[in-house]
Amino acid sequence: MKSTRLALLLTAWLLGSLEPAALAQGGFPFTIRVSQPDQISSVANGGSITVNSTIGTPTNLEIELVYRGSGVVNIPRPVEFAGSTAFALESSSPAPAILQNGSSFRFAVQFLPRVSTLVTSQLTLTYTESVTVGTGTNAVTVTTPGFAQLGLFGTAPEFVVSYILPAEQNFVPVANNGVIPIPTTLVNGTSTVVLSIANRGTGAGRVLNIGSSGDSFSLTGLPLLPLNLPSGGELRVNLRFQPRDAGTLAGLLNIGLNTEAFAARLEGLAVRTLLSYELAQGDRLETLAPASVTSLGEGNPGDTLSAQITIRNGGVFDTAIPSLSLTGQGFGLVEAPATPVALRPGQAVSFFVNFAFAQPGQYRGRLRIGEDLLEFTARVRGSRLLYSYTVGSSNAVTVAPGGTLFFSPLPVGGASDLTLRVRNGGTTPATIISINLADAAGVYRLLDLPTLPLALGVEESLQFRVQFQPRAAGTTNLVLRIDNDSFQLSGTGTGSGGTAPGGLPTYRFNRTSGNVAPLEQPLLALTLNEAFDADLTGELLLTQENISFAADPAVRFSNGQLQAPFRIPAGSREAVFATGARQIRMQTGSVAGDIYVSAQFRQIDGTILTDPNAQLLRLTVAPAAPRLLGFAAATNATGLNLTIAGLVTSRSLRTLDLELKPAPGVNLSNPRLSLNLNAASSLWFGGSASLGFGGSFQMQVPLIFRPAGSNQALPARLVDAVTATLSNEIGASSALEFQLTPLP
Amino acid sequence: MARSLQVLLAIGMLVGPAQAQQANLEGLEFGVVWDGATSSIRRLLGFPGAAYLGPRTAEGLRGASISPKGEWLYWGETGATVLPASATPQELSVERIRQAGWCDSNTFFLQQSTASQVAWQWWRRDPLSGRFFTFAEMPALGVDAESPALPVVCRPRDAALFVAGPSGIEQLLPQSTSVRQIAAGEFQYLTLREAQLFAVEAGTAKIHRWEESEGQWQPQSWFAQAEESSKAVAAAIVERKQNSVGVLVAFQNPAAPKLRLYSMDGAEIWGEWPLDAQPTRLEPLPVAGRASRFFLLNQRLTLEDFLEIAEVGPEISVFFVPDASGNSQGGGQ
Repeated sequence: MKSTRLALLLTAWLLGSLEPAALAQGGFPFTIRVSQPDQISSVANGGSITVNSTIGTPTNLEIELVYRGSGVVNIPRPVEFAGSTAFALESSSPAPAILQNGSSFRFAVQFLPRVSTLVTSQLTLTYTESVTVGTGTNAVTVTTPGFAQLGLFGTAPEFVVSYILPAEQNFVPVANNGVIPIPTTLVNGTSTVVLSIANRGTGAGRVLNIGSSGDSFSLTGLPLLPLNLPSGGELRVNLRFQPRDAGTLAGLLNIGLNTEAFAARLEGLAVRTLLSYELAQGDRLETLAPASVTSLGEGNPGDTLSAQITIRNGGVFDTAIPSLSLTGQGFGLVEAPATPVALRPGQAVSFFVNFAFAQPGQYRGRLRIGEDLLEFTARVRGSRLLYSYTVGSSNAVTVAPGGTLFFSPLPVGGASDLTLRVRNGGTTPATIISINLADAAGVYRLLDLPTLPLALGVEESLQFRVQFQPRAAGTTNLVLRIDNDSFQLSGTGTGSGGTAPGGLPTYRFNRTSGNVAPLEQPLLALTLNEAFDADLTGELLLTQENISFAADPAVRFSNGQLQAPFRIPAGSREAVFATGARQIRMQTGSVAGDIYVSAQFRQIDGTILTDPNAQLLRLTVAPAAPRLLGFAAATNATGLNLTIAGLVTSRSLRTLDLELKPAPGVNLSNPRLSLNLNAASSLWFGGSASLGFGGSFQMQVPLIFRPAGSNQALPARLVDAVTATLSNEIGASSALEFQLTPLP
Repeated sequence: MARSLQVLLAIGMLVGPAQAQQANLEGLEFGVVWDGATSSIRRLLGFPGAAYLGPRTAEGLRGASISPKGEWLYWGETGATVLPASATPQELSVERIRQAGWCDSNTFFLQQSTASQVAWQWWRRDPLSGRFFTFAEMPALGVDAESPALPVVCRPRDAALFVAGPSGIEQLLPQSTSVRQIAAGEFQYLTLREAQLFAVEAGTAKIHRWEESEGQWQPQSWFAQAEESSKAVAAAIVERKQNSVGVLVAFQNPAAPKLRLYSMDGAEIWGEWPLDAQPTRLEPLPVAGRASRFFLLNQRLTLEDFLEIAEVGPEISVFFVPDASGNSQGGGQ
C-alpha cells in the first residue's frame, strides 16, 4: 500500500501535476501560521513554538493551517495535546472538517504557566488528503493520511527581589509585602542598601517601574524603565536612607513587574549615635537610652553609690567616643577611658559612675558621651533645709547657713522687710522646732511666723518675713537662728528717726536685771519717769539667748507672744497692757540663758520713736542642778515602772540614783542603783525633738526583779518606797520619795 | 517623733541575776485640754511655769471632754467620737451635743439641747450603751454654758448618777432611770468627792454641801463671803497635805478674781490667791491618766487668752499657760 502511494506521488511529481507548495512541503499540504500577542510567524510542520507568559497569566496562540493542496482534506477530530497541561486548547474550528484548497483550520492554544520552569507539549492534528490524479476513466483518487505536529515550549519569568546590606553583601530575598530593614543610621547620615531584581525564571520579564515613598528614603541608579529582563538577568538599584530625625522611620518600595506589583515596607532606625549604653549595678542590668534619666538609688550621707556603664558600638560601622564627661554634685567617673575611644562594631568599653555626698537631698548627674546625654539621679536620705530670700520683687537670693541676709539702707524710723524661704530639699521630712531672733533692741522682727514646731515634707517650704526697723543711724548686725542653722542679718539705718515732741521721757521697768529662776512667771511693768503730754503706744519685746541655741518656746508673755502691746495715756506714767492691767506676766522658761526685755515706743502713725535712753532688762536663768518635778512608781508583773518628771536648765543629766526601800520580808540584793544618763542625755537634749520642751523632761525607768530561786514567784509587794535623785555636772537634785504603800 | 532614748541599767533583785533595764527620756506634758479658742484639742507641753499649749491635735470640733484617764470624747456637728487611750475609736450618732463630761474612764454624759427640752445621755463604754433622760425646762437646770460642770454628776466609786433637785440631791442611777423634773436649782457648779457633794449656787456665793450617810444625803450650806463684786463660780474639795482637806472656791471679780481656800465647814479662810483671768471652773486636770494636783480654772475663748491653772499642794500656786503658736514679732519661737 505504501509503495503504491509512493509510486503515485512520484509519478505525479514527474508529470508535473502536483502543486509546488505540496512538493515544497514534502507532501505536507498545509502552511502553518502562528499568531502570538506580539508576533505572527510561519512554522513548518514538526517545528516548535515558544510561548512566554507570566506565572498565572494566560497567553493565547492562534494557529491557522491553510490547505494548499488540490485535493480534499478531511480533518476528523480536533487537535490533540500531549505533554504539559500548561497548554490547552482554547478554541477550534469545528471538527470533523473538510478543507479544499485555500481553506483553513484554526484553533487557539492557551498557555497558563504555573511555574517558571520550561514546560513542553506537543499538538497533533490528524487528517487525510484525497487527491484525484488523471481524468475520466483514468482518474485515480489517492487518499493519504497525515498529521500536522508542532512542539510547544512554555517559558515564564520569575522575579526575586532581594536586598544586599553593605556590611554583609548577602542577598536577602524579600517577599511581596515584606520588610526591608535598613541598618541603624545616624541622623543626617546615609545608609545605602542595594536592591536586586533578578529574573530566575525561564522567560523574560519586564520591570515596569520602581519607586519609593517616605521622606528619608530614595532610590539611585535607576535604569530607563520599563526594562526587559531576560531569564537569568538582574537589575540592581540603590536604596538610600537619609534620616533627618531620630527614631524608627518607615517607607514603602513599589516595583511593577510584568502584570504584578511588588511592595515592601522600608524600616530604618535613625539614631543620634551608634553607641548603645548599658548599666550594671548589683543584679540590675539596664539598657540606657540617650536623654534617659536613671536612678542610682538611695543612700545614707557618706555612702557611695556605684554603677558600671558599658558603651557598645551596636551599629555596623566603626565609630568612636569623641568625649566623655560627667557633671553634677557628688558624681564622679572611675576608670574612665581616655577619649577619643575607637570602637569597631560590637566592641565595648566600660567604666564606673560613682556618687557620694554627705548632704541629704536629690542629686542629678549628667554624663555626656559625645552628643549623647545620660542623666543619673541619686538620693541621700535625710532632710536638708535650703534657704533663700527675696527683697520686694527681687529675684531670690540663695543663702547658706552662716551667710548674711542684707537689707537696703533705710532711714531711721522706717521699716523694710525681706521674705525668707526655707525649703526641704532633702528626701525625708524635716521638723523645724525653733526660729529665733535674739534682738534685744527690737531692730529686727520676725513676722508671719508659722506655728512651730512645723513638719516640712520633701520639697515643701515655709516662709516668713524679717523686718528691719533701724532705731539709730549705723549698721546693725544680728543673728537669726533656725534650729541649728544661723544667719547674719545686716541692715543700715540712715538719718535720724521720729522724735516725740519734747523728746521721749525716760522710763524704767518694775524690776532690775539679774538672775531669775526657771518656771517663774514674773510680772513686768513699765513706768515713765515723768508723765508725757500725749498718748504713747509701744510694745514690750522678749528675746532670748540660751545654751541650746534655740529659743525656749515657753518664754512668752501671757498673751502667748514675744511682744506685749501697751498704751500710756497722756498725762499718766504707767503702761497699760491689752488686758487693761498695768502689769503683764511672762514665763522664764526652763533653759539656762539670758532673756532680754526691751520696749519700743511708737507715734500714732506707728512710726517707731527714737529712744536715746533705751532700757534693757536682762533676766538670767542660771545653769543649775536638776530638779525633780514629779515622781511616780507603779508595780507590774515583773517589778516596778518609775515615771520621773524633771527640769534641768543646763539640758544635761549625768546620773539617776535610786534607793529602794524593800517591803517587809523582801531582801533586795541591790537596793541602791545608779543609772548613767550621759549618753541618753546628750542624745535627747542634742536632738531637735527636745527643743520644744526646753529643760523639762520625763523619764520612764522599768525595773525588773528576779526571785533568787528560779521557781519562786515575785511577791506582790516588793518595795514600799523609792527615792530618786538626779544629778548633772553642777550638782544633785533634792531627793524625792514615792511611797508605794500608805504610811502606817 | 523620735524622742526616746535608752540607757541600760543592770540591777540585781532578790539575789537574782542582773537584768538589763532601760530608761526612756521624753518630752514632759502635763495634760490635755479642750481649747475653745481654736476649737481643737491641745496638749499642755512643759511644766506649769514654763508651759504652753501644744499643736492643735484635732480641729474643727464643737467641743471635747477629756476623761480622768486622758481619754477623749469629742464631737462635731453630726456626732461624737470616743477615743480611748489605746483602742479603736467608738462613734456615736448623737446630734446637737451641747456639752459633755466624764464620770470615770468608762462613763460619760452627753447633753443634747433643743428648743423645747434638754436631754441627758448617760453612757457606759465596753460595751457602749446609753440611757436617756429628758427634762422639759432647760432654764431650770441652771447650767453654766461656759462650764463643763453639770447639774447631773456621777459618783466616781460606783458611777451612781445624781441630779440636783428642789429638795437637794437625788440619785437617778443606778436605782432609777425615770425622768425627774427639776425645779429651779440655779446651781452653777457641782463637784463630787467620795461621799460629799458640793455645789455653788449662782449669784449668791452660797456653797451647798451634801454628805451621804447610809444612802441619805444630808444637806448643809454656807456662804462663801467675799467682796460685794465677787461671785463664786466654782468649788472643789482639795487636799493640801495629809489630813488637811478644804474647799477651794473660785471667785470672779472684774478687778480682782481670786481663789480662796475654806475649811470644810466654811468657818475659816485658810488662804487667798489672786488670779489673772476670770475663773469659770475648778476642773481637775488629769496628767497621763493619773489624777494630778493641777486644776484648770478657765477656758480660752480668744487666741489672746491664756489658760490659768492652780497647783494645789502644801502651797497653792497659780500659773498661766500661753498659746505660743501664734505669729510672733520681735523675737522668735
